[in-house]
Amino acid sequence: MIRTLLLGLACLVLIPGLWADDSTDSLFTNPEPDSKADTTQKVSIDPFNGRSVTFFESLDVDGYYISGYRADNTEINTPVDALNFGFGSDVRLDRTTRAYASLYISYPTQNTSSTNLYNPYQPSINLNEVTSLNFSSILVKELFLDYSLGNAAIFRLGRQTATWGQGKIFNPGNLLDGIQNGVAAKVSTAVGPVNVTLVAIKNDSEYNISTGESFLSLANAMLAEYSAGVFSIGFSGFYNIGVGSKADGYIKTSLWGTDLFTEVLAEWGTAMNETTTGVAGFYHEFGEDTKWLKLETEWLVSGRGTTGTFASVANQNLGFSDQTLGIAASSEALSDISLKPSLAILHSFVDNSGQVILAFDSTALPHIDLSMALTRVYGASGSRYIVNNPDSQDRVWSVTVKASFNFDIKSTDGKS
Amino acid sequence: MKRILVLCGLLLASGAYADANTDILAKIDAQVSFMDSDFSTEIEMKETKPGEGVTERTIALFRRDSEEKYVMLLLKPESDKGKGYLKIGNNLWLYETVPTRRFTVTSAKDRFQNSNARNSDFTRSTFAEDYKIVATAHEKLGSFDTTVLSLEAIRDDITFAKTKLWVTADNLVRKKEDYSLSGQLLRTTAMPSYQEFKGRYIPKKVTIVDALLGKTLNGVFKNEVTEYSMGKLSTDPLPSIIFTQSYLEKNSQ
Repeated sequence: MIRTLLLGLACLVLIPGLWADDSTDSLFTNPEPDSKADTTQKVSIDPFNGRSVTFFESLDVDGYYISGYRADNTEINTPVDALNFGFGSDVRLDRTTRAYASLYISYPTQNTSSTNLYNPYQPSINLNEVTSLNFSSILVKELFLDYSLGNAAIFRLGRQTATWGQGKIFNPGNLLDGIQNGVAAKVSTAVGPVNVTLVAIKNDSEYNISTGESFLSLANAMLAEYSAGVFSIGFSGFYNIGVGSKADGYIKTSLWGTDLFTEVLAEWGTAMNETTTGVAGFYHEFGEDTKWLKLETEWLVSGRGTTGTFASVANQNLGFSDQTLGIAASSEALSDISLKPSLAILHSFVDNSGQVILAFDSTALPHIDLSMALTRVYGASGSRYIVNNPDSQDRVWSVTVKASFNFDIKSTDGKS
Repeated sequence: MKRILVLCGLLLASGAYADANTDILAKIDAQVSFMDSDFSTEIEMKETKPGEGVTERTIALFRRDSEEKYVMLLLKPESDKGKGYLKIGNNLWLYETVPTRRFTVTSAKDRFQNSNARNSDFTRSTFAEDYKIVATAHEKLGSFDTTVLSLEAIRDDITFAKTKLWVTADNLVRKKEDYSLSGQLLRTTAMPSYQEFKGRYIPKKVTIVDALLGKTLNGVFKNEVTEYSMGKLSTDPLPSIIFTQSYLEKNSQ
């Protein structure tokens, strides 16, 4: 009986393989002879260089429910909804000039801010909690003009997004924090094998200028990157009269199939206290065709923060005592059923606080993203991750169930 | 003394064998790489997933092999237009445009746009740097007389741990089989015909048959197949600004 069962199972596994139509042999029986290539045409380096006008629209609807307990065992349940209607245009006059606008209307209008879960140094994320039917005025996501100076340089002027730095979990090397909500001029060029980017950011709120002398809220940054063999290196700098100076350097390589990087940031000047921050990490994918584990691990040694908060401006140098471990793992093992599990762990050794998030994300249905997350925030009262709890309701145990619907559509010169 | 001489002789012979091995692979690499100039081409790709239909893509590929750089920009279909890849040394970024325009770090081992091609298929050929020959044989492949080279990767970061090449006397790879470390066949690639271009050779058409992915239709397992051809070949110098993230940002849709 067992033999019959095993034989049946073997047939089920093997027969499709035997019948598999995976042979390429027929391609070699009478192949086209080798010949000279046609060299009359070549691919354009400016494939989208004609005059064109594109309009686009998007709709994102999120609904989620967070249930959990605060440290004092108070149960807090919060339904959350958010609706964003985005629209914009992308206009190209010729190969040199392009104007891009991405705008959106948000519902509800009032937001509560929360520390970014994965990167406390980045601008806070918003958790929408108000349910009054009151739409915001039109908000600007991106609004910029591109200009190409021949093949020598590419300029981008306006409200734009950009991120520097190597860390995927901790990213102290992102010197462009202020670009998100400001206006910036960016120019990129290549000097031999070195890619160089210069950025000037105007952001009155980020750089805390209230004197009316708006030039004081202008920050300048520069990044130079170079690859030699298996190594990539980069240096960047930042200066703002109110914030101070920053200098950053990184080196990356790949050994034994593992990406490795280390990055050091030094800050000094007006608002800085000569602090140094270092981050080192590795990324490895386990599995050959299906990556059953993708693992990112990073170690942050920071003199930047204070004992109780990840303040973006340092006022106390903690030196090497301020260490944080971050682990982010995900798997493709369940991709056949469009389910992606992930685990994130952040632990601060300075006060033994941290966060653990286990999440499952399903994209089985078109346009719909279903996810569930279990979150644990731990630490003593007043410790870093308790103070910076990403949950605005300060739950230390919580379950989040979320459903998102989104669609995008665009039309170029009348063609969708 | 005799034993020492024999041992020395064996060591020298094995060194010479290793050099010969590397030499063969270096010749194969030299046929399809452009170390002394830039290289650009337009790739027409057709991906057939049984029961799901056919997806067609057009991609602009710009390569600077001497600096280990490439940029791929998707020109079609409309929904993917403006997506791109930038490779500088060991760094490979995917520039996505939907839902938000952003760069993410990706791997050369990953599938290109979920097709049966891998991102590493579009770099210069590096068999001599990545593999050692563990066995050779001679085999008739249709109308071709070929040498079959069985290779094993010498590093962990190579896309395929084992691979098998069917090579003709002109050092052109006509067929390739890629295997996992455990010996599982992952895909078969056929390049029966080449076009000669500036002293190098570019496959007229590449057919990749995925050994694992596919669907059983009417009782027969049909493999996923990706075919692509390269046209608009050029070795004209490319501006360095192409190999920057800003170039992909500028061309995003």
